[in-house]
Amino acid sequence: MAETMTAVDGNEKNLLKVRQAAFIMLAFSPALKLVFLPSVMAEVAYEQLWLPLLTSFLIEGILIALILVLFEKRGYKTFFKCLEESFGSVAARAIYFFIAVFLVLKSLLPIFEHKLYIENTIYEMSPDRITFYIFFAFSTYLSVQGVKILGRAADIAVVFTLLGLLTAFGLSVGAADYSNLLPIIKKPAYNLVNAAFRPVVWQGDAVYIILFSGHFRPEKGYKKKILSGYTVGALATILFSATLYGIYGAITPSQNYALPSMSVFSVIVTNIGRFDFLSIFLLLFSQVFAVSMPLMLAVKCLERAFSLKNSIVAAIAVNAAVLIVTAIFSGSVFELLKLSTDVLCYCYAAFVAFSVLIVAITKKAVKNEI
Amino acid sequence: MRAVGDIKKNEAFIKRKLENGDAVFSNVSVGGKKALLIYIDALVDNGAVSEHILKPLYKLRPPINADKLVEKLPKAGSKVTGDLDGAVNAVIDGQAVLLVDKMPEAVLFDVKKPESRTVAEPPTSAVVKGPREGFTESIKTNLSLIRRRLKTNELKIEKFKVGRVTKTDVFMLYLNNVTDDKVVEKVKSRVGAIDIDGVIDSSYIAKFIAEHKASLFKQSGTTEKPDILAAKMLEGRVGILVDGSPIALTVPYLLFEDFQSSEDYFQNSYRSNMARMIRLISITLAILLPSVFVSAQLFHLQIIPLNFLLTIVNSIKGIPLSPSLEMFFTLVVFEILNEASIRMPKYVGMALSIVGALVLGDTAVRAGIVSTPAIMIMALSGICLYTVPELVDSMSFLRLIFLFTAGSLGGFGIVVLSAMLLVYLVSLENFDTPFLAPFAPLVKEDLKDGALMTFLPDMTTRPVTLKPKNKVRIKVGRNYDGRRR
Repeated sequence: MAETMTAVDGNEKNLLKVRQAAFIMLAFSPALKLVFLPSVMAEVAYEQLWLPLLTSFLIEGILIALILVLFEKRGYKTFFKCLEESFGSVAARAIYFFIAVFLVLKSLLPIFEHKLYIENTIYEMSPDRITFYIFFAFSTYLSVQGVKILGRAADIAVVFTLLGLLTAFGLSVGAADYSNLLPIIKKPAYNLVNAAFRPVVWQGDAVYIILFSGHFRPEKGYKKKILSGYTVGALATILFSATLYGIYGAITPSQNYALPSMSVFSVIVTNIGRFDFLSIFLLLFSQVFAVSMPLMLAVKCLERAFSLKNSIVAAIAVNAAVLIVTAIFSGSVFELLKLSTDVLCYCYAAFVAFSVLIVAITKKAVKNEI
Repeated sequence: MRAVGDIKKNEAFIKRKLENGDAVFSNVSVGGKKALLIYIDALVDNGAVSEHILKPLYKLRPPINADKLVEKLPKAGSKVTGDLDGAVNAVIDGQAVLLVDKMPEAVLFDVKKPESRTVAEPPTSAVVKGPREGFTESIKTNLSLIRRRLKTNELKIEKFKVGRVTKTDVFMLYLNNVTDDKVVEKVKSRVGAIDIDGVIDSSYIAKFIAEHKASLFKQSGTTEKPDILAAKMLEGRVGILVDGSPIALTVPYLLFEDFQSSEDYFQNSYRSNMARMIRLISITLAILLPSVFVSAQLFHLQIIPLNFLLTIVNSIKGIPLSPSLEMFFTLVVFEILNEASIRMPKYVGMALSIVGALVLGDTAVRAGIVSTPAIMIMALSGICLYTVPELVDSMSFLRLIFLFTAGSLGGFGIVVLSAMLLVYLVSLENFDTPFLAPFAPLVKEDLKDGALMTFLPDMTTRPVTLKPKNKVRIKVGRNYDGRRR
């Protein structure tokens, strides 16, 4: 199978391996969701927070599976190629531009929340206000690189994520009382539906998969591998959210920074100091990649939309724009969080659904193309 | 210029070209004809000149011609040339040239003095178990050391002359049935394209064949040991030997190569795995320990256990420097001591150690300029760095960058810088080989000899990362007890 299926994007810089696509899901997806998300979910679903999370992940997982199937039927072409062949170059560019805008907007809340999280929890002595902005230097550097580099970084970052998750879980599980999560069904159903939309603000893996399609050479069981990566990441997020609720119960909504709050009751932390910072820093390493990934992909979309030969200009422009927005509005992080979880999550969900729909209506490949 | 029959004209031409005082023009008589033997005294083996050239020459009877000279003086490795420029170059190269009157050719004798130190254990890669032979400055010795280890006609050796003035012999060695042709072609074209006045050491070649000239990390492997070079060639790498240099180069180079020691393959696997882990942890500590310590003191006091924090607080009381400046100062002093101890004559080395480590360190602490933990952290970081000596250059530089970042931005700065370093490392490729393989990209097969190593009989394939033509290293057969391997 693999012999006839070659990635359509001829650019070596953008070639991924299936394993790397799965690792991106596994390493970066949960890392992004361990700051505000658990408390946000607890705020609307209380002890049932795992249920809307599960629903949301399940829907996104189905979308990812659907996208993979759709691209299989389109001869593993890149999304851009599919759009070009179906709607022409101008439409393809326009859609890529809108995806870039979506990714930039979607990146704002994670950037704001991480800025706050880093300044408030990692630093005991208040850091300089510009400390966080070094992130944009990294993000610009990463944006200039090809997707291949992101894939290779995921090969390493997955170790950091797993070690971080295991350490954090190991330190917190002892203090968790999972009976806090009972009863399983309590709230009215409409609340859960409403809650299931909230994680969309932090999700986006379906859009990533759309953009990655055609950049990896399909191999035996590739769909299973990518979905497994996603599933493990999703389960880790659910488990951590459940553990946080297990520890804090009804006051979980006030625990904005899930990770540092989880391990403080561990005997190890009491005896030898903040050992949990090991997991915090390990996960922070992956979080840095996870937060900058939408910006990187936005740059790649702009590169396509405007046929840029060099991504430096786009990388600087995008990152500078987000830096300015962050500098001006980062004080309003909770307002943005409210806006995102009350309104924007529906818009984002609609955009993701719309993107999948577009993939679905693009031309299928003729038999000999597959 | 072509040689002519008139010996005087030939002599005049060569004398013009060799205006140095060390060239010897010795008049001799060969079969009754006037002849001239030219050589540079310092370069030739005088015993060989007398035994293999002069003695047989006096015994020769007429008629005399070039073919007869070659035939009768076999031990001198004679060769005939009609080109006087070539003859001049041969003299410069350490050969002796014989001009005979009425003979329009020159005869060259290879009587170069084999001036080199004996094969000894290289000081930079000493082993407890395993071969102790090391390369020398003599290319002939080095080639023979490799030939003795790789007894196959698949061993290909290609010669280049590099350096307009030095005309240094550069040899490219590879196993034809193993090494990827693309790598061989790339090395050939890159070495062939070097146009420099002189090549003094193999490091010159390394800089020219590197893909990323400004890279923080080296891009060719280096070794002073023939057993390591042979092992690397068996894995599918190309070796480069340079005349006058005891250091061989190997390409493609992977960062993790330097974490592997030849001894890992000679000793118990468990011990080897432990040693590899220690090297890995040591290098991480060497780079990060000073920066983490500084960042913890400045921004993250909560990560320091309370008792240790009290010790630190007591020891930094009254220290006039900030933690970052204090650590920077101690690291700079360490680098100075290191540099001085390398350059300083050996007999003052001991004095330097006493002055540097004991007097300076102790006095600085007593005078309250630096704290004891800072000295301890610096010393530990310095020792850790030398567990992988090949990486000292780049890692000591990185350590300073991390320290600077930690002092100004704290833990988040360290994390972001680490992420940047990772992106930089994974983006590096040399000879189409990812620098961070087999970890990024992950190459499952090559993990058998990665951060941990499996037992030697289980390493059935050559590293896939190097794209060897022949992947099979151990043929699947049966063990001595008849079980299938």
